[in-house]
Amino acid sequence: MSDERELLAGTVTELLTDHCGSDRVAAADGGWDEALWGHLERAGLTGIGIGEEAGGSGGDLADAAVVARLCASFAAPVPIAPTLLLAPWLRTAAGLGHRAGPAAVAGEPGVTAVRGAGGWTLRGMARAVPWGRCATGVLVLVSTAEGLALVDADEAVVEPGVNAAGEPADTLRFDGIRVPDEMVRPVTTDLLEELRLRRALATTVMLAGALDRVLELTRRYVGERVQFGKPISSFQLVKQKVAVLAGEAAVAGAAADAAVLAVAEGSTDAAPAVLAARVRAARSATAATAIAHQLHGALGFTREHRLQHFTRRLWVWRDEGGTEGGFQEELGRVLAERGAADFWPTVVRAGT
Amino acid sequence: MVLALPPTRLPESAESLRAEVRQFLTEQDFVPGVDTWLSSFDPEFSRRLGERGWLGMTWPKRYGGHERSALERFVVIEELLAAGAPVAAHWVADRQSAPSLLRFGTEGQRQKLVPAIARGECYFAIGMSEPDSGSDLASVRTKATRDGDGWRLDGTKVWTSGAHHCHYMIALCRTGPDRHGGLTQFVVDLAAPGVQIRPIELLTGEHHFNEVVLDNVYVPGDQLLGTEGDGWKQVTSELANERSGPERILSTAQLLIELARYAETARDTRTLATLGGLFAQMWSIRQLSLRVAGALDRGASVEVEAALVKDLGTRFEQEVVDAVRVVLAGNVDPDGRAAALLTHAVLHSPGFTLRGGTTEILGVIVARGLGL
Ligand SMILES: Cc1cc2nc3c(=O)[nH]c(=O)nc-3n(C[C@H](O)[C@H](O)[C@H](O)COP(=O)(O)OP(=O)(O)OC[C@H]3O[C@@H](n4cnc5c(N)ncnc54)[C@H](O)[C@@H]3O)c2cc1C
Repeated sequence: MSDERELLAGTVTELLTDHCGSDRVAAADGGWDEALWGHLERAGLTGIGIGEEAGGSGGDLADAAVVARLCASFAAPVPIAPTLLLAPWLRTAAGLGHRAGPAAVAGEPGVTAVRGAGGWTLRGMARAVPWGRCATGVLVLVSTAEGLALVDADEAVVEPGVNAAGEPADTLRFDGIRVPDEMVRPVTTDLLEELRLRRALATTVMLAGALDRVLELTRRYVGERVQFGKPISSFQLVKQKVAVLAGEAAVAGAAADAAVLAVAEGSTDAAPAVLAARVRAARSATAATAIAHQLHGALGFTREHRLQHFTRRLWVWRDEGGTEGGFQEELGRVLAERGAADFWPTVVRAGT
Repeated sequence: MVLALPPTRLPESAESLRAEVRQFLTEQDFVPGVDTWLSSFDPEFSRRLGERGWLGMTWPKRYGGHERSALERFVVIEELLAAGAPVAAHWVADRQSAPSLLRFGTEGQRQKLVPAIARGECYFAIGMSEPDSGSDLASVRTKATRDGDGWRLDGTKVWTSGAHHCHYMIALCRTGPDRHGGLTQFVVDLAAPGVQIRPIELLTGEHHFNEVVLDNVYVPGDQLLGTEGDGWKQVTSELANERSGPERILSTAQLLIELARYAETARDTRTLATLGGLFAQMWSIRQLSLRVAGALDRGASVEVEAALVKDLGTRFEQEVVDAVRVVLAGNVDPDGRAAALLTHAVLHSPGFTLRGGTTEILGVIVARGLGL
C-alpha cells in the first residue's frame, strides 16, 4: 500500500473503531446508522474516489475500495458500497453529474419510462434495492421505447424490506413519478453488462472485508476459550481449521485487490479478473463462515455475539447479483471463447 | 502475516522476458506434461535454459548468475511450468541448493559448484527425510563424525528425488545430541565411495525417488555447508525457498488447459462452471503467490506466508485433478493427450500435499504465525 493509502486506512479504522462498535451495528439491524454516515461524510470519506472538481474528496477506485473494505470489516450499517463503488462510476458513464449523499442503484430493469411534454413518467417497481430508503438519489435503470435509460430519481415510494443480514433491501415504487429530461440518460446494454461487473467487484471487496474480521474474531476466540483445562487453540485440529480460515481470507483479499486494480486501470482483462475474484471470494465466504461458527460453538450462534454481524453479511453478499455458480459459468464461457491457447495468457494478463 | 503482505506488481521488464520465454518454448521439442518438475528429467533442456540465462537468474554474476530480480525469475519459471516443460534436472539445484550455497557456503564451494548449476550442468538432490524422520525432520539420525580434517557419514536418506541422476546431495546430519543445535548440513558427492542409491518405485512403477544409503562415506572438511550446528537454521531457510514458488500451484496446469480445450467445443454448464471455478482458483492463488515473491525480492522472511500459499496451492493442484476428471473421464479419446495427462495426474496427485512439508505441518506453521 502506498503511504497515502495507509494513512487513509488508518483514518477510516480510527473512525470506525470510535463510531461503529458492535453495539451500534446491533442497534442498526434492519435499518441504517445515519449518525455513522454523518461522521464518515464530515471526514470526507463518502467522497473518496470522486474527483475534487466534482465535489468529492479525490483519490481513485483503489482508495474507495480501501474505505469500503474497512467498512465491511466493521459491518458498518451504511450504504458505502453503492455510494463509493457504484454510483460515481455509473453517473460518469451515463453522463450524469455527481451527487453527494448516500446512493442506491436499482440495476434490474423493472421500471418503464415514457416520454411526455417536458419530461418522463416512471412506472413500475424495483425490488430489493440495497439501501434504497437511505439514498438521496436513486439511480434507476428503466426501459423506454428507444431502449435502456438511466434515471436519477429523487422520489420513489419506499416499501421497507430487510435482507437476511439485517440490511435494508427495499422495494421502490414509481407510480407515475415525473422526472425532467436532464435526469434521464440513454444507456447501452454494454453499460448494463459493465454495471453487473461493477456490482460483482463491489461485492467482492465487501466480502474480503468481512472475511478479514471473521479471521480476526476466530483467531482471538480460540485463544481465549478454555476447555479441558486449556485454550482450545492448543488442540491441533483447531489450529488446522484456523490455518485454513487464514488461507481463505488471504486469497479472497488478494483476489479483491487484484480485481480492483484491473478495473481501475481499465484492463481489457478486467472481466475475467472480476469474475474470478467474485467466485473466489464467495467460495471463501462459505468456507470461512462454516469454520468460524464451528470454532465459536454455541456462543457464536447467538444474536448477542458479534460474529453473526459478519457471517450473516457474508451469506447474503455471496449471493448478491448471482451466486458463484452462475459467475463460474459466465467466466467459463469467456475462457472457452478465448480458447485453450489463451487460457494461461489470460491468467497472467488478468493479474498484476 | 500474508494478510499484511502488500500486492505485488510485476516490473515492466517482466513482460518482455515473458515473451522471450514463450518464444523459446515454441522452438523446443518436448511433450508437455503434468508434475514435470518432479518427473521430467531432461539435462539437454536444462542446459539450454542455462544458455539463455534462465538458471541462477538472481545470483551474482561472478558465480555465473544474472543478477535479475526474484520477480523476473518468477515469470520465467511460471512460464516453464505452465507449459509443462521438462525442468526436473536442474529444479532443486536452481531453487534451493545454490541459494543455500550462496548464503551459507564458503567461497571455494560457491566457485566450484554455483557456476555449473547456472549452466544447467550440475544437479542436486535434497537429503532431508529418513525412514524414521519425515515431518519430524529435526529427529534425523544420519550421523556425521569427525575423521581427521573431514567427516564420515553413516545413515539412510529416503524419498530422495532424482538422486540417481544428480551429482550432489545436501544432507542434513546429526553432529551432536542437541535436537536442533546438533544438526549440520553437508554437500555429499553422490559418486563418492560408500554411497548407495537404490530406486524406490512410485505407485506408477516410475523411478523418481530413492533410498540413499551412506555407509561410512568420507566427506572432506571443506564440504561442510555453513556452520557446524547451524543445520536447522539453514534448512529452515532452504525450506522457505522450497515452498514459496509457483510450482506449488502449477503442477497440474497442463491438465487444466486440456479442460479449456475440451470447453472450446463442449459448452455445457458443468464444463463451463468447472473451467471458470478452476480459473478463479488459479488466478487468485497466483496473486497471493506473487505477494510472497515480491516479499522475497525485498529480502523479507516469508516462512509463514510460503507455508500458507503452498497449502492453498497444492490443495488446488489436487482439486484440478478431481474436477477435471469428473468432466473429462469417459468423454475424451482414451488414447489421446487429455486422457494420458489425466491418468498421470491422478496417479501423481497424492504427492502434491506431502512433498516439501505436508498439509498438516503447513497448517501448524501457519497457526503459529497467527500467534496460536
Ligand atoms: C513426491 C515426493 C518427493 C519427495 N522428495 C523428497 C526429497 O527429494 N528429499 C527429501 O528429503 N524428502 C523428499 N520427500 C519426502 C517428504 O518431505 C516427506 O514425505 C514429508 O516430509 C512427510 O514425511 P513422511 O512421508 O515421512 O510422512 P509422516 O511424517 O510420517 O506423516 C504421515 C502423516 O502424518 C501426519 N503428521 C505427521 N506429524 C504430524 C503432526 N505433528 N501433526 C499432525 N499430523 C502429522 C502427516 O501430515 C501425514 O499426513 C518427498 C516426498 C514425496 C511425496
